[in-house]
Amino acid sequence: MDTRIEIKDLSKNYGKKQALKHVNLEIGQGMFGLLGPNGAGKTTLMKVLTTLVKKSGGTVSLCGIPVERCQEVRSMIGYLPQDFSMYGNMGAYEALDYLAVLSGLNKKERAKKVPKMLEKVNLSEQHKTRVKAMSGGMRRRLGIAQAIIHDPRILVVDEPTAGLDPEERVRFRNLLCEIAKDRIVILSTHIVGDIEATCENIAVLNHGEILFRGTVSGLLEGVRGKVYTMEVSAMELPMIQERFLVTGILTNGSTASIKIISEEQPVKEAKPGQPDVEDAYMYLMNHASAPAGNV
Amino acid sequence: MFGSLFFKECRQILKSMVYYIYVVVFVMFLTSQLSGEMTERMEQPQPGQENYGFVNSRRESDIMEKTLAGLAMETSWNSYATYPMGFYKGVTLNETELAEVKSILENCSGRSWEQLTAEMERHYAGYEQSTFQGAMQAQISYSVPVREDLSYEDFSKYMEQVCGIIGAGSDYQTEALKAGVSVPMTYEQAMEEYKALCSKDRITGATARLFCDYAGIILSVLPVFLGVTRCLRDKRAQVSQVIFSHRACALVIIASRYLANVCMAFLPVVLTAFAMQMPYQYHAKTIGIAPDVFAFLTYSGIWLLPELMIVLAVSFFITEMTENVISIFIQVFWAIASLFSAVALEGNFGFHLIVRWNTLGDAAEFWRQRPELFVNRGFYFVLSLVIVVCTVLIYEKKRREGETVYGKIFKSRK
Repeated sequence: MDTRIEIKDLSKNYGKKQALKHVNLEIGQGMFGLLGPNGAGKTTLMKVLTTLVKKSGGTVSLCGIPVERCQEVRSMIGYLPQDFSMYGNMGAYEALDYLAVLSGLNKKERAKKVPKMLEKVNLSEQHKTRVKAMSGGMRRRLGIAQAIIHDPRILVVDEPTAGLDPEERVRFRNLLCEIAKDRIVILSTHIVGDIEATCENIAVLNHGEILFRGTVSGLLEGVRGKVYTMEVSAMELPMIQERFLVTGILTNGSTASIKIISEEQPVKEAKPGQPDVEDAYMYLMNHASAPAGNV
Repeated sequence: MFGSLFFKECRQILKSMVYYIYVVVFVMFLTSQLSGEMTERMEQPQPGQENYGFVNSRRESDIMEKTLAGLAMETSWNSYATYPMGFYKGVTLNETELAEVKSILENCSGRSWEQLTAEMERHYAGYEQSTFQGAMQAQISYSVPVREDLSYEDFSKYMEQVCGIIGAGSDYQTEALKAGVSVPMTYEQAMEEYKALCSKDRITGATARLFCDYAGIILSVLPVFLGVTRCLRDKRAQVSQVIFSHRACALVIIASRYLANVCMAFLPVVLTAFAMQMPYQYHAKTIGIAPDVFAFLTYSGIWLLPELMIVLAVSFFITEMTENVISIFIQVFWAIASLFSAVALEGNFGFHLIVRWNTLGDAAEFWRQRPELFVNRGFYFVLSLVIVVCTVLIYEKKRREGETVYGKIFKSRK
């Protein structure tokens, strides 16, 4: 059985604006991170995969099924949109039960699965809480529960941690990793920390184009040997920011400890630093013209 | 899936404030129109009664005499009631125009205007004008005899001239004349009416018609609020994307929502009808007639359900297409146009959205016109199903293309 998502030469135009430009991707089982700034085309790509937006060109197949076969595709995907919401007057149980019906679950299955899912997302005790009274985190958890209640082979989550507090964010990431054990999970985000903590395979999208596709370590490789740390006076800081790509500043009175990315050692005092995904991402975005997968 | 969704939709409607407003407005409207004691009007007529009520007559002689009576009265006041585009407009004529109308009256009746006014004054003086009953009786019993050699065709031509002078929408238009005139009932007619009330209508049939007449007016608008509320709920709660991404097909989603709204909107109609028929059932039993206990349900199902279905279907279609409340304005306009375009308050169903039978009884005439009612309601029933299918197509298009039709139109206008 095919357990891949294949995207070939995918384009999407909104009038004259090209939201996706000849995107090629292959996504296998496990967590897959889609990283990019706001407006990069991530949500459009997610919507094409979930049959919510018609592509303008190219081919997309999910587990061997072309995306045009909407009904079959919808049966195998779970989708958590960026701003998940449900009817405000519904309780958590009621909302999940309603969406489970839309997923094609019969009464018996729902009676079994709805409480189980609420427990999984830690909403059992709030099963009567109305959606309009839920916090952002609770809503996202309800959203993930509705996305997986029918046991989909593919789960698409769009910016799931935006606006969550750190504790809730960590809990959500862990939940996604747990879910990804036996299915494809596509995590779209502009928060680099989410990708770093959960995904091995990633793609970076900008202006509708894939800038990078590969592994997290592959992305890190691109910036290895180009990260430096140094102490500078607060007065020098604006000048350094003008000359170099500064990815971290820790001020301490009149001095500042900074992290910069440079092709060569910027000054004698600069010491080589340990790159992280954020550095690699920032480096990539600054070299957007570099060929995909070869940064 | 369909059954579960249907029941869930019904439950959601029960939680909606709009639904309770719908119920309250419906019940209040009905009770305000039908709260009068109608059982008095269902007593067996006795010989020698002061009056036996009124009956609609389509006899040419009755039409000519009563129409001339109305024209004479309005001419004496120089105030003519017209309803162009359905709304009341009082018309006052200048001296030349008034003289023309008087001349038409003289030609039709063979009497001078002075003779006509003198006879009118004499007639009205014979009735107690200070009471509603007396004034009504005086008006209904007043008629102007026509010239012996005046044919109906010539009379019609004269009335066309009157319409040319006072404008459109008067009682002298050909359609209005065709609808007949109210004339006092004779004892024999009253007995015949009473027999039809007992045998054909079995009391409750006649009251059910009157119930449907009033309920039909309010149901030509009220359900649109339920339809619009349901269709905009997804947009307001921002759940469209979530629902679109699920497996359920557009037909199941729209059909379950539509059916739930139809059932829930019809529920208060059935309950009100059931409650309102009680006194008439009781009355029928007290006068020894087995009432038709299902009359209200049958009449509501045939008369009101298709109307409710079409109003909901149109509101679903327009709201899914435009994603705004424009459907409410369209529906109000349609209802007003339908209400005021009716030339008669009884029958002449045609393809009017609101069908009228604003009388208690006149059973024989109703049964004569019944096939026309079936055609009208059947048409709206089928049309509503066609519109629901169109709504499904619009919904699926939005789901696949990620844009509303309105959005596309708007974009192309930019």
